[in-house]
Amino acid sequence: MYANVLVKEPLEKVMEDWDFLQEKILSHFATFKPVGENIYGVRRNRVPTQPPAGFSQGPATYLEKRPSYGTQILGPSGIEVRQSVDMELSIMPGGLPHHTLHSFGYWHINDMDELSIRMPGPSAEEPGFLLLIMGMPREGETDRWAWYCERCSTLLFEHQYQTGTLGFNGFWKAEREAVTAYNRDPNSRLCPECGHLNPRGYCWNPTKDTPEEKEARGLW
Amino acid sequence: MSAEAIPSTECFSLRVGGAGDEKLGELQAFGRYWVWGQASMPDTAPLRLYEWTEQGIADLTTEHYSLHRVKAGTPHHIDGLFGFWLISDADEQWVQVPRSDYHSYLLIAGGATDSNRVHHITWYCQDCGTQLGELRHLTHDGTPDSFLRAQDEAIQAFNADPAARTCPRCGVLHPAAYGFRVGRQEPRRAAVEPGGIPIARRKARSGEPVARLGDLRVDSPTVVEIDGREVVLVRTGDVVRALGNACPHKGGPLGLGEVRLGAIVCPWHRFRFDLSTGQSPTNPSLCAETFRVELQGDEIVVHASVPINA
Repeated sequence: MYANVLVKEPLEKVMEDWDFLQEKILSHFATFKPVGENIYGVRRNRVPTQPPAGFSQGPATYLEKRPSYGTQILGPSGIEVRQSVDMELSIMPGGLPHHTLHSFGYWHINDMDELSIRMPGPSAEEPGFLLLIMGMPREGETDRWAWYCERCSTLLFEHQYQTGTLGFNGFWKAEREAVTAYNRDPNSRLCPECGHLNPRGYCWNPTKDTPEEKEARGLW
Repeated sequence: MSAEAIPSTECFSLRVGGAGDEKLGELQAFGRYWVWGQASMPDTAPLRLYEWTEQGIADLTTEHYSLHRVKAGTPHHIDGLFGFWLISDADEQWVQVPRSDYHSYLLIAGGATDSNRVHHITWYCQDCGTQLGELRHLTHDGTPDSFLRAQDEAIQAFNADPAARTCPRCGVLHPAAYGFRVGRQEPRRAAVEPGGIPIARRKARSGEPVARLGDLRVDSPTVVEIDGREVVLVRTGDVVRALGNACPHKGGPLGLGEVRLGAIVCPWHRFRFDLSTGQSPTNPSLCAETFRVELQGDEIVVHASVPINA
């Protein structure tokens, strides 16, 4: 079909960045990048699917016991943890507070819908991909970083960034400002409702964690 | 705020593959996206994405994992999925996951506000690439069902007219077209249960009885409509409080929130509002609307024309 009119050159010569999972451009998306109407984030799937050497209880048991990277959602019924399943497309509606355990230390509330899909590696030896797609924020649409009491879900602290107006380029700086502001004063973490002292926040990028933030990353 | 303006807290979920899976998804809309997915056996013919470029038609079928963006406005055809060339106002993401045990495909269209509204379809000669006739505009209401009905009409007209299918340049007859292949509706799964709080959609005018005291459960919000405005009634003992249903933070449905310690907690972001004053104890800039409530015997009358704290 279309044999006479097909482009003969390699696709790379015809279309720039035609495949966003190519190894050579993958690193550009580790901290998200605008692509047309959306923002893409792609990470190599770091969640192991096979037990390490010496684990004697079998793969099925390992999958149950491996570290949890589930996503927490804060809805009318309180906090619910959703474990991602291979090849399951999930869409988080805009406005729904969500937090991915051990990945980012805050509740993210964005005005745009957010899609995620975890693809297993082509084989047991190869890592898979975690693909995130968010709508591009327009004027008036924001990203917010919030912290809720882990015991009673009371809102403790919130920081907002006008992503649609100020642009996505300032997102990571604003994220760092939010985390630093929350961590600066222990009273921010002290729940006015139940008196619980909550753990510190931390950013998406683990390489810039302070020792305290690194400890918090292991906690929640 | 109308019910339509309140975004859902329900998440969308669609499984598109697993070992031994073979399924054909429905074209579904969620938020600003239309999505479709399929899992098939590895020995099944692959779906082939063709796209017009400045150099000609590119075949974007891959034997490895790939994520490709079809820019809004670009003519493209996915052989095996829909038998026409589509030009959409939305960016589309085409995900191919060819594994040894199954092949998965995902089509994700949208991202911007008000996209997935304008679609055109056409056909090109499979031999020389000449366009066969004009672009056909699909008139639909922005829903997948309406889009599918519109494509059916255009396809029927194309298939019924051999002259339209015959290339004016090389004379080759284009094969009959086919519509977007969709399968059984995938069940949507609510990640967050609505809480099971009964919502009584009673309507009344301001200053007229809207419910009886016995209709309300203690500390259980009930939403009524007064002069077209959604009002939350909360009974604490024999006292009834009335607040606007829209949270002053982001418009969340206070009527789906829980009542604790004399405050109602918004289900979206957990802001609390004092039942009598509407004030948020943690954010002084936020205050929910409150209305005067009068008990006439056991009849509840709400004066909702002007909030007390306006």
